[in-house]
Amino acid sequence: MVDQLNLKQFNSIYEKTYNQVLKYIVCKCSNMEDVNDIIQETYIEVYNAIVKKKKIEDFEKYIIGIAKNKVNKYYTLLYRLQNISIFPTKNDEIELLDNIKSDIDVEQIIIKADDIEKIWDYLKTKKIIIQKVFYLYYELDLTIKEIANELNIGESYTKNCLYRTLKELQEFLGKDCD
Amino acid sequence: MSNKKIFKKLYSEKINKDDNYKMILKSIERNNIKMKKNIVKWISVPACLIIVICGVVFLNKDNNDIIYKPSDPIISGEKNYEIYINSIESNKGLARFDADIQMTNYYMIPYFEFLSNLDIPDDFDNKEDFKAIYVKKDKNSKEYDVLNHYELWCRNTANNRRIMIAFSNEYEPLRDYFFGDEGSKVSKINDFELTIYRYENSYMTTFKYNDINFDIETTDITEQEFIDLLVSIIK
Repeated sequence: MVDQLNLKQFNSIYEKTYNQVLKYIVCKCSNMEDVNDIIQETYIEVYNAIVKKKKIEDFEKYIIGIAKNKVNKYYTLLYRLQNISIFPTKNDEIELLDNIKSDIDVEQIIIKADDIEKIWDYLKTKKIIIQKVFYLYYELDLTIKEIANELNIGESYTKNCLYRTLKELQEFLGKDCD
Repeated sequence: MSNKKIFKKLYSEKINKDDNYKMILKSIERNNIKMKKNIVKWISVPACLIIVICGVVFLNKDNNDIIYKPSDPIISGEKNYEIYINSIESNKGLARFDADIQMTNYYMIPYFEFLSNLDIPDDFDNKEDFKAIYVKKDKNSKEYDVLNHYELWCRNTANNRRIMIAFSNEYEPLRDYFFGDEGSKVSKINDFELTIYRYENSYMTTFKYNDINFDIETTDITEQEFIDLLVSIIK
């Protein structure tokens, strides 16, 4: 039952490493809509390694390595040159830091959720860094500090990405519903 | 609904762990089939294909035509079983079912834990021949697009000793005969009840265990080999 044994090993690795790999890919991707493809390509290569009986001591490191290659291959140099850096510029930070209260609480901004597809579409219009902050905060449950570290941005900037975008969403969804 | 719940719902739809897993499996499957393109052959079975499993088909329109002779109990305290083999002594109503199916060789099937622990006789040289059995959604449908069950065929190719395990967690595997159980004795393996039949050189049984429907048939294997196989599935 070689295939079944391989699959059993694969399933165990998938369960153990998925969240970590997902976080890595989200942090490194240039478009949130590519995340599924990159994850799938990464794990297909993991499965092939299992079939080939490669000796792997630390599967998590190994898979992150594969994910890194996949991200690099996915976004060719040309693609990266043609697109704006995924990291915020100083101007972005300055712009966001303007007019900000120091005691903002993102949990106090409640948005409507009649149609979550509208939220997705709206977020897609925002900078990739904002999309990532949202994903890491709400789906992967990272703290503001952890997100800042992962994305190599400031904590205030992270917090304000959430705050401003939630405010905008609140207004957008509110108006839309009226 | 809190923001957290809204975004969790949104993201679980867009980037979903289970969906990704399914896509990965599909892709692995596709790659395997591609790699073995010269081996993989779709066996299109025309309407009215007769599945003859084990070479013997038993059936009857009237179950009373079957006479069972249960064996003495075969008991193992260590492995916790009490087995009765119901030998079919007479089956006057021998008939065949026609089944409209499509069968394909399969190299990758979803994970079923029992497959990792099967006790297959050591002399079997082929233990990984998987097939998938597809049926039509309804009589008028042209496509065989419903996966009814998988089959694992294991055999000793030198002497044709073989085991066929049909299984599915959705449907009961199709078969071309059925047994009434009147007059038969029920066996127990680890307190799980099932009925085992023997006809000439074949053992067979059907049961549902851990939400998987099984239909097992063998040819030319010993009584003990058949019991060991069942004990490896019914834990």
